[in-house]
Amino acid sequence: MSAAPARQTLRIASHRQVAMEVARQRLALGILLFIGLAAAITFRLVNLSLFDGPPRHHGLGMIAGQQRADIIDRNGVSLASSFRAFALAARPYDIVGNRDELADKLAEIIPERPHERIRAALDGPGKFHFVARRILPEQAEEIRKLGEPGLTIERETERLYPNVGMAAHLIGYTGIDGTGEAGIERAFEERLTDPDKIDIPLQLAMDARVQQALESELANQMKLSAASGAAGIVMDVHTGEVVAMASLPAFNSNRPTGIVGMKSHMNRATLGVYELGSVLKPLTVAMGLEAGTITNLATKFPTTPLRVGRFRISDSHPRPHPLTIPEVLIYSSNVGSARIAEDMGRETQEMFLKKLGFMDKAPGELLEMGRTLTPAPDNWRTSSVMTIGFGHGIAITPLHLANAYATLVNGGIHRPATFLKVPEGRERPGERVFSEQTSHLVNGMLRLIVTTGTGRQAEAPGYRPGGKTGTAEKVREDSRGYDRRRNITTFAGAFPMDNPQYVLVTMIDDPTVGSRMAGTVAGPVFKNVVNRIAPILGIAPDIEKEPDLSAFEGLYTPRKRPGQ
Amino acid sequence: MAWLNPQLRAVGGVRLDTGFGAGTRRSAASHSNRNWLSTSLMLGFTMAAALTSYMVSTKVSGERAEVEALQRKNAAITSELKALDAELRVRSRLPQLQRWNDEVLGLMPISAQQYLNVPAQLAAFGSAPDTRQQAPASAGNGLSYAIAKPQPAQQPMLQQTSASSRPTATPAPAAPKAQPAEQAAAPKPAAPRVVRDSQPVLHLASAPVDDSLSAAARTPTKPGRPAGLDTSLIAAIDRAAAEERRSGGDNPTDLLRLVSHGEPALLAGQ
Repeated sequence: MSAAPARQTLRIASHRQVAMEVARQRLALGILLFIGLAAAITFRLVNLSLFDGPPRHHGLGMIAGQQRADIIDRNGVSLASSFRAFALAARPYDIVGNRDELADKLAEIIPERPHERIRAALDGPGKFHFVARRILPEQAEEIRKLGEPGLTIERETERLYPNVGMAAHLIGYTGIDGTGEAGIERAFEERLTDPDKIDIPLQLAMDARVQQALESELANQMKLSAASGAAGIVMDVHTGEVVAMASLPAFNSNRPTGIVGMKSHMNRATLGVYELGSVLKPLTVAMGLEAGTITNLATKFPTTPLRVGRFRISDSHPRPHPLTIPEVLIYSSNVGSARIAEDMGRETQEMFLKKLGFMDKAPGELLEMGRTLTPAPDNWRTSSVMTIGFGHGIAITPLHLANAYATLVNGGIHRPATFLKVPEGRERPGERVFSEQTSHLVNGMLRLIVTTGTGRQAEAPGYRPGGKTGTAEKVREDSRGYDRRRNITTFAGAFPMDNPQYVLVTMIDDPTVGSRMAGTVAGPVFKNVVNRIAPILGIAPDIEKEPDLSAFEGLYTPRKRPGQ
Repeated sequence: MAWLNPQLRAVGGVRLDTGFGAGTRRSAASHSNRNWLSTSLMLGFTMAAALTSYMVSTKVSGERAEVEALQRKNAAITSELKALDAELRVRSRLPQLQRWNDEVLGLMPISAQQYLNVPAQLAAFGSAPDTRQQAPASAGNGLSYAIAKPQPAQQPMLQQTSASSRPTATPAPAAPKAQPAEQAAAPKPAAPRVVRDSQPVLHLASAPVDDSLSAAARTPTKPGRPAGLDTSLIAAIDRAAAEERRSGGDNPTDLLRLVSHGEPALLAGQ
């Protein structure tokens, strides 16, 4: 047995070795788990550092009170901004002190709130009542010092309109819950509450100084004539921007009390539709020139009254001789305009009206836009064509009128009105409605109206304005027909006429004291506004410059200027 | 089971050995010294690392707290700035400026005659201009030019400001009578009006600065003639400002009240 063959060593695990085996397995498992945990954390760290953006500053924005974007005018003047306002709330279940004493103390701190309302809020059923919706910071501090747990100071977002009542209809106002209820505030609700754009103010095309000038002159004339309303629009003819839009009477945007149906809450410039009368005559002449039905400006139109169906068309101040085309506008002849329209025909007229936007609702971004009243398609007969020629039989808003005049004087390109600022140098696309030559001719005639015609009171020396008066009787509310005692007086024009830059429309609704003719009521408003806004808008006056009126020589009788 | 202790040998039978062998019993003494040293070193390093990390961590959290405090302070100052800015904008709002112009300053827009294309045209300014620009209707009051005749010494400021705000009137004092035709043609009072000492100066008690409830309750009367700036008006403004600072809440010129009681002209809703 000495040469032992190689024997297999038999190793049998003892308990200890089994235990160690198990221990090592558990250790391996633990190590794996730990590595897994570390890997997960590392992965999340890498994810956070590489892929998540910078932290959003929501918290800070809320503290600073910016919950709605600001609105500014074209030069950066603030028109609307947001603040955190204090409101006092009562939680009746948590009130520990004596309610009567508490009500007395509160009435002392907030004198504008009646005592009964304060007491009612402290008592009332329910868990939460507002005691006072807007209190001053000093008052909030006093109330906090009372130390009553049932009284809490809530923070609400308040909208401040620093210019109080100016441009009230254009900017609009917000309700108690902070949503816009009129004007720009309502039309741009999403833009103003968009979290990404809250820090970027919304810039309007409006110029606050021009707006103030327009509003004050309109208000003054409204008071002088004891009129029931007034509206005015200033538009830039090359971009279609609405530089000013006024509608009176207006309201205080900070406290727009009253129901929406009140007179002061209707936007007469964009929502109200009126038969504006003779102001549409230059458009009729332009349509005739463009369509080719007027070939010669020297064509004469007799002023004898016309009979169409059951209508009788006559001039209010008929001239004793037939009138040339410029004279039709200078003397504002209804008969002449009706004949021009009749020559044009319904299809041409309808086409032009559609291109000028008179068949749609008012242009622009506001939501309070009026729809025009036009003859029904099956009722658009010759009589309608003729009456539309001198501005009756169609009801439009002043904004429609301003937009059409802008199209007329800027060379014939129609750009819909916009209330937002167009960035400098950017060309807005437009549709050509009239040719350059038509526009040039009608510009000259508009200038003639102001130098020798019915618009002489609108002449602002040096600024070369041109425009047309319009005195229209208001339609009776109850019966058909017109009310002879109530007028709408309008003056629509542009300046400077040798190279028109801005259109200005002024409308006085129902002047009752003094003259009721547009030349005397709306004309001076036009002149005063032009005198005030032209330097602001960068238009230098020049007493010697005049538009080229050589095309009209011999076609009208010039008036002698006073002093010549 | 090769990883079992190689010193274990099973010859014939199975012999178990659970120890680690005799090697571990060698130099037990030096081994324990080395152990204690290494242990203490490890302990020391660990403690140092832990303390350092803790210090860094507290420093970081301290900095973060400071940053947050600064941010809060920043936000508070920003909102205070915004409130002050809003107050300034409300106090200098355009309708208010219009009222001040109508009632006190009487400034008018520049007229076309004041623009000259060629400097040689300045020579024509020696004589009176031929047409006068009408006052804007918003002055609404029959204002004609207050021609600044050389005033006695007690109103130097009035003369200066009226001369500067109505530049076309300055050539006129030499020939106030040369305008009868224009004045007669003007729709409102014809005679040039000379501003005298007896002119009532607009006192601040009823001045446009007070925009409170009483302003709204006042019926809009025909605005008075612009009085211009003079020393007594400025003194009155200073007194009113001091009063406002002193009385604080009594004087309702707070921002909220300023904006809540709107322009008197607008409230004429018929």
